[in-house]
Order: sequence, then structure tokens, then C-alpha cells
Amino acid sequence: MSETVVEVKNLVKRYKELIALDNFNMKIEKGEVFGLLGPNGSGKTTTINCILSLLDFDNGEIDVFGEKMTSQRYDLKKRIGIVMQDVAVFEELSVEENIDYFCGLYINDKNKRKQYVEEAINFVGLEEFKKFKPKKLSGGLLRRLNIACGIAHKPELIILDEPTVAVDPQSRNKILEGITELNKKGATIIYTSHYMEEVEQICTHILIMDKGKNVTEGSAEELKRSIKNTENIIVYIKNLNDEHVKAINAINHVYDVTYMSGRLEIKCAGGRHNISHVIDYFASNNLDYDRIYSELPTLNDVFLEITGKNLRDKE
Amino acid sequence: MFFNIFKNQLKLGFRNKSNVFWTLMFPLILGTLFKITFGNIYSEYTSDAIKTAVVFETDDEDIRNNTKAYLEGLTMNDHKMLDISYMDYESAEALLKDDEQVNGIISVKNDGRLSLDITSNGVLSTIQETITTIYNQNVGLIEKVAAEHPENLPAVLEGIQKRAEYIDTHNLAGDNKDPFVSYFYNLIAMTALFAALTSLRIGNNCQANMSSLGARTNASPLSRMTFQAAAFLAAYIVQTAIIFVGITYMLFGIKINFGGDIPLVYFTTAIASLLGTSLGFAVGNLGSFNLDKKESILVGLTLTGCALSGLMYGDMKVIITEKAPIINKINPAAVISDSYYCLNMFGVGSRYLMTLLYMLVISAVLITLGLVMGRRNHYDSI
Repeated sequence: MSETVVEVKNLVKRYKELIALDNFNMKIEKGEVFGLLGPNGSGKTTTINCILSLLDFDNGEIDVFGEKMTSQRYDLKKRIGIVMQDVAVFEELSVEENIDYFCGLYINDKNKRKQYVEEAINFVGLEEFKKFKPKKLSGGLLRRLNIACGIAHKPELIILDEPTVAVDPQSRNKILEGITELNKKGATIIYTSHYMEEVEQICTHILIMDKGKNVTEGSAEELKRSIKNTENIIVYIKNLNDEHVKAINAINHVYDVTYMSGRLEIKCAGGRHNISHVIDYFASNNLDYDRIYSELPTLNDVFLEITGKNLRDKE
Repeated sequence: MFFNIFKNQLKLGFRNKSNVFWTLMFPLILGTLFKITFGNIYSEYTSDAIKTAVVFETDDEDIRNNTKAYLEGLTMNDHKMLDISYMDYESAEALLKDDEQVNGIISVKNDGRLSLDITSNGVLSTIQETITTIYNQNVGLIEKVAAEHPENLPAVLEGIQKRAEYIDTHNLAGDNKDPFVSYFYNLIAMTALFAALTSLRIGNNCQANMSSLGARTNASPLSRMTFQAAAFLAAYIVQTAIIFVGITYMLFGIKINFGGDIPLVYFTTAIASLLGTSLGFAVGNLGSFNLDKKESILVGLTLTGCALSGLMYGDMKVIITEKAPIINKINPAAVISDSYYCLNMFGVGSRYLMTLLYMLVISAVLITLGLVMGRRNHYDSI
């Protein structure tokens, strides 16, 4: 029988006139890597801050490890690790000292803490930099330090709020591998990110929220199956005019066409042999193309289809 | 948990270069400048008696004897204030102009008054000028009373005598202290207030709505009180240690004579540092202003307090004492400088102990304010 680690019920949070969370619900089972997705300002960070009991909320309930979460529940807080969106370390302390400081907020035993700090340093691959001050570290290394500070005490629930912002692909890969490893060791993870491929890669369950509400949730595959888009056809072609675009849009099962800078993207809903129909159109109109291929929808397509393409204010 | 926070906060305090620089370098640099500036004046001021030529332009024996007794009787720090040579005016003028072999010529007039000729301004000339001015004022006063209320003359003469004794320079603490030491005490007082800069960060580092570090600390199982107590203690120790280094430099580096109360100077500084740390702690927990705004508030408070306490303009304290004396009781800068003043002038006594008590009470009030303002564990917005 599954064990619920976090349960959020009908959460309402208002910032004066703005409703940041509107009867929001969320349930996270033990062992999940739970992806919490949403556009800027959708309420992800507000949800996390409410779970951590940093923010007051107007209505609703939050249970962590089956018990009501409050700011005084130090026993529950002890089992949680948090990796903030912004790097939160002390400039004056070295890598090792920073990890020791934050681990010390949870672990009293000096010997145990020493061992945990060492393990955290190895885990994020900062062995060579443990005597370095944060300002000597690159952006990627700094993010890894930020993670080490949040997970050194071996929490059962780890909340990672956009931990890979502004890091290079190598560091990002290292971080994602680490998160998967933590999960394998038994930690339940809440992960927020704007990088859909990351979420698709590591999350076992995904919840998409918008305007403070749950929009949809499920595994990546379930979400992809739930949307209209079934196939994207990409064509690199020059000299298409509006008439051609209109004609392609009229092909059976095609519901959206965008043409920009020589790249034509055709979205299809259902149907088989859609790519053949497109190739037939080019042939019958004597249009030469450089490259054509078909791909299945990604989580990014799911996200854009559900939340729309309009720009949002920064959260 | 307390010890771990305390230990790391100590490291943070001592490694905060800008803070250490300003708290330490401010007294070191300014103290050295004071020493250089006052050292020149002081060596001139405390060396031999001021060479003075006295010219009698009267044959009145009473006047001659009175002025002679007055001028020869002037003392400072147990030595004669004036090194007097009696001569005619031409000889005196030649000595004054000839490489300043005398610092001034005091002429005794027929009406009993004195006049002064000097060729340059300076501390010595100012002293000579003060001597002649006071004498002339007294002569004028006696003449007026003798003419209008002769019955009051004995009382007036007694008053003049007492005033002369009062003006005679010696401090009530009974030690041989540097006459410019009060400037150094004021400097230490200002430095003690700088302790507020370190403790200012405590509030920010544990308020989730102020910084990511605050959010991380709040999300941990550490109680607010434990964090604040450990961080406060560390900030206090850091600041006190830094100020002690400054005082030690003044004592043994530039050899400022704090008299025989050196342990008390350290002790007073430890209490003053507590007051400074408490001030920063209270401002640091003030509302949801960011660190820059809190720093501005603190600097504004500190400078205003220093200005009102007379650390920048000497007469201000007197003005405040007359117009709004309560300010001197609640202004940290005034209370700190007053404690050093009392120690310097009166030694350990009720007035000095009262200033220590004021500092402790204000510290307790500020700490309580800080704890009350920063007691929240969760926020309306982050």
C-alpha cells in the first residue's frame, strides 16, 4: 500500500486581490519524483513555501508524512530538505563549511555530520573544491553546492525548486543523475523546473498547474496521450507563401501550422501517414525541401497546449 | 545545534572583511590621525611654561604686586603656566620678533588691566589670551562692585578665588590623564556603535521573507530563538574583540594615556559593544525592509545619535541637556560617550555606574524589541 508523503487539500492563498492558489490539491506518494510544472506566476513556489510552512495561507490543509504541517513542527522539518531557486550559501564560508553549517541545522552529532558532509561533497562532485569559497565557483558548481547544502542531512523528502537554472549541460546532467540516485536511495522528490526535457527525464509523476489551480496530472506518457497533438512534422523549406501554408493547414488531421525562418512545423491530431500527405503536397506543387521528419509530441507540447502560448509575468 | 550556529557565526563575523575593516580600521586610522594632530599640540601644551615678557606701564605698586602675584601663581598640572621675564617694552618686542624668544608680551596698564601682544596664533597664544581676558574681566567686575555695591566686595572676591580653584586643571578621577583622551573615548564610543553593523544581519539571515538564507534557516528544524541567541552572542564577541584590538593599539601602539583605568576602559567598551550589538539586532528585525534599507536606517540612527551626543559638535550635548534632556538618557551614542566621560573625569562612582546601568537597560529594551519584531515564523508573502 502506498504511503502519502505530502497532501495538499483545497489550498487557497491570496496576495491582497491576487489569488495565487485557488483550491489547489496535490498528493505525493512515497518514492515518487514529483514534477510540479506551471508557467511563471502559476503558484509553484507559493505551493512549496506553504508546504514548508514559510507562508501563511488563507484556507486548506497541508499534511506532511501524514501529519498536519505547521511552522513549529520541527520533527517534520527535520525530515525535509530544501534546495532553493536562488543559491543560498554564505560567501564567507568554504564549500565544506557551508555544507557543515546547513547540515548542522539538522544533525547535532559532530561525527555523523562530518561523515554526511563528506558524502554530500562526493555526491555532488565537489571534492576538489571543498576548501573553495563560493565566489570562486562557477555557476554550475555553485548550484551543486546549493544542492549539497539542502540534501546533506539525508532527508526523506527533498524539494528542489528549479535547481538547474543557468547551469551548463554537464552540470545539469550531473545534477539530474544525482536526483535520480537520491530517489533510488529512497527519497521522495518534489521537482519544479521550466526545462520540460528534464522533467520528462526524471519525474515519475507530473502535475501541471496554472493560475493557482491544478490543470492536469499523470505520468509523462499519460499527459502526452491526453492532448490533441499526436504528431509533429518538421520541414526545412524555403520560399513558402501564405497560400501554401493555408493549403497545408487544410490537409486532413493537420490542425496547426507555423512557418518561420525556413522552418515549417505542422501539428497533427490523429491520423496515420500524415507525413506522406505532406510530401505529396510538396511534390504536386513542385516545392523542394531540405529535410523532413516526424516526431511524437513532447512534454513541452503538452505544457504549451494546456497552459497556452501567451507570455506570463515572472513569478 | 546552538554551538554549531555560534561557531559558524563567529567565523562569518571575523571573515566579513568590509565589516572588520571599518570597525577596526576606523579607530586605527582616526586614532593615529588624532595622535599626530593632538601630539603636536600636546607636546607644545604640556612642555615647559609659556615664555612670556611682562612690561609694567604703571608705577602703582599695588597693581604691580597684584598682577605679579596673579601671573606667577598660575599653574597647570603642578607646574608654572608662565615663564615670566620682566623688562621694558622695546626689549620685549625685540625678543618677540627675534625668532619668538618669548611667546607674547603682557603689558600691565595704569588702570590695572592687562594687554597682550602676540605674533602668531596657536594654543600657547590662546592660553595667554585667556589669562589676560579672565584677569581683565575680574578687574572690571571688582571695580563695578566696589563702585555700586561695596558691601558685596568680599563675596565677589571669594567667588573669584573659588572660580580660579575650579578652573585649575585637574581631573576628579585623580589620575594623570592625557587632556585629549576624551577625543579617543569618543572614537571608541563611535566604534562601539559600529557593532550594530554585524548584528544587523541576524534578522535578515533568519527571516524567510528577507533572504534565501533566511528561508533556508526557517525551513530547518532550528528554532528562531536558538538561531538569534547564537548569532547575537557571536556578533557581540566579534565586535567586542575587534574594538579591543583598536583600544590595545591606542594603548600600546600610539601610547594614548588612558590613566590608571585601563581595565575599566575595556569593561566599559564591552558594555558599549553590547549596546551597539543590540541596536543592530533591533534594526535588523525591523519590518520587511531589505538589508540596504536597514543599513541606511542604522547609519541614519547612528549618525543622528552621534551628532546629538556631541561626538561631532561639542556644544550639542549641552544644548540637548538644556532643551530635551531625555534624549541624552535614551540616545545610545550619548550614553556611551557619557560613560567614558564619567570614567575619565570622575572615576568609578555613582554617575559612572548609572551610565553602565543605562546602557544595560537600553540593550535589554532593544533586544526585546528585536525578538518581538522578529518572532514570526511564517509570512504573508516571500
